[in-house]
Amino acid sequence: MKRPRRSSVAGALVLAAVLVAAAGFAISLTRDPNRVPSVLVDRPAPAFTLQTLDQSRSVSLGDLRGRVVVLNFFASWCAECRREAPVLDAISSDYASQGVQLLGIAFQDERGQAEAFARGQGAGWPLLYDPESETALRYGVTGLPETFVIARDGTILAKYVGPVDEGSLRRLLGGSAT
Amino acid sequence: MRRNLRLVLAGLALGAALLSLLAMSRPAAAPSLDERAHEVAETLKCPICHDLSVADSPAPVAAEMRKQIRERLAEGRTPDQVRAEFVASYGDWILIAPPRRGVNWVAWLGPSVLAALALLLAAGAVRSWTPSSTRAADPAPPPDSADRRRLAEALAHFQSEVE
Repeated sequence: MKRPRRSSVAGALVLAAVLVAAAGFAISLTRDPNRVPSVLVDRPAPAFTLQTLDQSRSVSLGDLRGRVVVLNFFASWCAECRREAPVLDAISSDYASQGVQLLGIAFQDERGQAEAFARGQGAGWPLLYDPESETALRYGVTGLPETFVIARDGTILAKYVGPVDEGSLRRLLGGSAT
Repeated sequence: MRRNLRLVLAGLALGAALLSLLAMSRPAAAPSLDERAHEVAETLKCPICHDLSVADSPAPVAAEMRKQIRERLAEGRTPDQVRAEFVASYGDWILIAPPRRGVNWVAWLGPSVLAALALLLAAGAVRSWTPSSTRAADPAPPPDSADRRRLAEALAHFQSEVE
């Protein structure tokens, strides 16, 4: 049997590598780039009890067990947070009756500025103050905006970095909100 | 006099050596809480400025992490426990030096392996430049009588020229 030439073998390997890379690229195009892997996904969401920005009451994550929680870290100085505000507003309206609760946590911001910004964007959900960013650090926040979807049993379903994609979030909530 | 001076100098030298040994044998003072906190902060990456350690980053979140590190150590946690807390939230990437397990061994051993390979390749290349002398040169045949006669004639002619 004739041995294949070295150049044929090398060429076949290069072609295989190109095909694998192309397949990987094609698959990646179908995924939401903002939905990122996180060590916290599939683990219990870190508990917190935080005061609202207007200091009128406190909200505990534990009290929301049984609901799907969309936890959004934001700030008044965050330009990308403005982009996703309409998406969050729509999600809040459309899924509230299905037991989906939105929560906003201000990250490294002044109470008054954060509240004014969020309400100005139409946020009708509780906005919380995170002193010394303790909760943000426990959630592994690296920038803004970041959004976590927490299942009814308290485990983290997904983490989004950057403005949340409406389609991706609706698909996720469509499965978890039922 | 000279002998006494030598004795004095020897004594001083011995005394200095003994004092140095004594100083080295004393245990170093335990690091302060701030020093321990700084040490831990140096081993963690700033979550915002990934190219800076928590110890060096000017980002407000790094300042908050430094405060948290200090508080945790003051509560009695070990540096490893404090680091583990941040790893639990962020993942291994928050550590400046990746932990020595799994695929991280590539990062630890890769440079040494690549350097060794490079040295081997270089050695191979240098060896190929050196002409090989694996075969001994054929020894010249012993001179026959005709060669000896020609040699004697050449030497005689050379001697007559010199004289």
